[in-house]
Amino acid sequence: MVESDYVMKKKEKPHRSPGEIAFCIFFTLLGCFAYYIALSFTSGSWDSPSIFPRLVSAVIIALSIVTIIRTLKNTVKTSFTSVKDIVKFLLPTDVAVLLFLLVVYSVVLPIIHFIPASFLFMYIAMVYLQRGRGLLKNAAISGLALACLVAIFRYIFLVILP
Amino acid sequence: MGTLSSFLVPILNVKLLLLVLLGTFGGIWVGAIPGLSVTMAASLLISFTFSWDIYDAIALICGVYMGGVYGGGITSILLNIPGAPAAIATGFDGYPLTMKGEAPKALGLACTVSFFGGLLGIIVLLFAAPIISRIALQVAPRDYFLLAMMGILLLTSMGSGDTIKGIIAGAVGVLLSMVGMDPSTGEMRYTFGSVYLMQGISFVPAMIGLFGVTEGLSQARDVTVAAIKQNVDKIIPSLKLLLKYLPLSLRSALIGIWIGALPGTGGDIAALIAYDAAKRTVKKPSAPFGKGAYEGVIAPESANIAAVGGAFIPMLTLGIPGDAVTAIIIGAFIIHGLRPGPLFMVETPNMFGVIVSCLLIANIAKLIIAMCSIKFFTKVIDVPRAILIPVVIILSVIGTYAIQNSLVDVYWMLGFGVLGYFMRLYGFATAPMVLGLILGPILDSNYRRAMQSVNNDPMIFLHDLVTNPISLILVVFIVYMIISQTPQWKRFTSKARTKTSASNR
Repeated sequence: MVESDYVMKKKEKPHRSPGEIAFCIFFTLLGCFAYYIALSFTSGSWDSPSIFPRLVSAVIIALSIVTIIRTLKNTVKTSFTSVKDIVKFLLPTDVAVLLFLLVVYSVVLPIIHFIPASFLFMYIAMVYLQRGRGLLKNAAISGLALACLVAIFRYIFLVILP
Repeated sequence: MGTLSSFLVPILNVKLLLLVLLGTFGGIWVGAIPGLSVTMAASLLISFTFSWDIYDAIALICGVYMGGVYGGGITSILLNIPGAPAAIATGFDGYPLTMKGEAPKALGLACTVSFFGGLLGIIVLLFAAPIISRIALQVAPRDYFLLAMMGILLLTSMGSGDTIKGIIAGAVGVLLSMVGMDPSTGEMRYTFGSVYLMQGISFVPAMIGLFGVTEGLSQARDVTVAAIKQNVDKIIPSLKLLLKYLPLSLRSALIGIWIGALPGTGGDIAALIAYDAAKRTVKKPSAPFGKGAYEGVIAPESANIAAVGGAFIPMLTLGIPGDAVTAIIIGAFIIHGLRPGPLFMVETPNMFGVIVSCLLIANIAKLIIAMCSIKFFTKVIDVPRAILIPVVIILSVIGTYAIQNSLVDVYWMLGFGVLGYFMRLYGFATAPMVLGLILGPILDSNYRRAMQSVNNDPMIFLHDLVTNPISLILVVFIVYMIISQTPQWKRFTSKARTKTSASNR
């Protein structure tokens, strides 16, 4: 075998994202927890309520472990220079801001109700995502979108809005 | 003769005609908007039309039904947010086509095959209803269990990402579907004493979260990406293209009719099984499945609309609903003083003709309305992400709340959305989780019902699996599905292929 063949055959191992192993471990733990709880369900016969939960939990545990092993074997840890970079990869600023807005929205929704909360969410999100441009335009778009949604859901389908 | 003239009733009566058209138009929108479902619209229409003539009500509902099933595919293709579970499979290849700039073509194809699939479903309803209903009655709980098994196994061949990760996502979905009160014994599973968990985790908030909010958050990773320019030249598929794909469409429609005819299963499972069948039988797809193959849009869209015709079969011949919407229609019949059941066709023969006619008109109307509005719908893609993402999120919120006026559902939906975001980041597909949530209860309850019917004797259960013709066919399919995924089989078939190509030279 010529040396160049050998060099070409040695494939680069793909990089794994930070937290990938942790995510798989999360599933493994979820499966273990689910199995443990399922043991307390009525069991004993082939048609008991615990059969499927236990079966499915076992599948989750087994396959998650397989995934962990495969990921460890076949991928290379991506080197990030700092914790800040890791966080930036997992949650880019835009996503983090949207998530924050969603949390605030969830809290505020039962208090100020649907129309004001949704208008504010849409307006703030749009203005932020467009980096502060189009203040008036976005207000109009949010208003119009909200009006359409309310018209369809509240008046045609008679859904009581939160 | 009475039945024959009843076919002409909706065509000659302008009011009925208009109602069908209105229903179809509304249905397309209802189907497209995530969170609004045909089932919800149908149940609203029942109360709406309480005082109407039964034919008027039926005309409207049939229109909404036909339009809605296609409508779900529109947002699935354009935004990767299925408007309904029946449209999940459409997005597997539909959304990649949009990414390639071929959304109008995908929508045009979907619309056309939806017409043909619907037509086949209606024809079968017209001519073969009694025969099919007789066979459908033979389907036992163990067969439903096997069908749901097939659905779950499809997760292994879903194609968009790692197979094993897909199964994990699906298994977690099945696990989550078991939260709540066990339907057979009333036992509380995984509720930890919480009232909210007692009612279980509905799959609709999960679907809206895992597709809508997840899509929004994932797209927010790069807001500056410009919208993909869509090629609006080729909307109506050429005759050549149509003839090429017609066999696949009709095959998929047949699958849809059968699965629709089974009480309790409908377009969602039909679309999945048709997608998988297409994946296995189409040797040279236009693109790899999962990356924008036209076949990946044709198969599910033909199957889910054909399932509509199929769902009417047990409803009209036996009074057993083929799916949720036909169950609601049975409710409408009862409200209007009719008696659905095995003698329904004998006592009210005209109803059959009117329904078939309405479905036919709705099918044609859907083709025309949808074709004309494709250009309009495609404009949605041109909206910049910065505007689309917040609107989609709020749409997801209101759509989730609309299901049962529960704020808790909205919180679940948002939670699923965040989970889905991380799942996508780490290579876990989200569709299997939704499917696990849908199929989990079918798997669990039918397995247990089957076991109970053989007095918990596993040997008799296994014996029944191979002695009953329907079960045997399903078992063979499942075994084939499992074996064909193993490396040994793939090696075997590729060796056989190279041998035949070598001998052909």
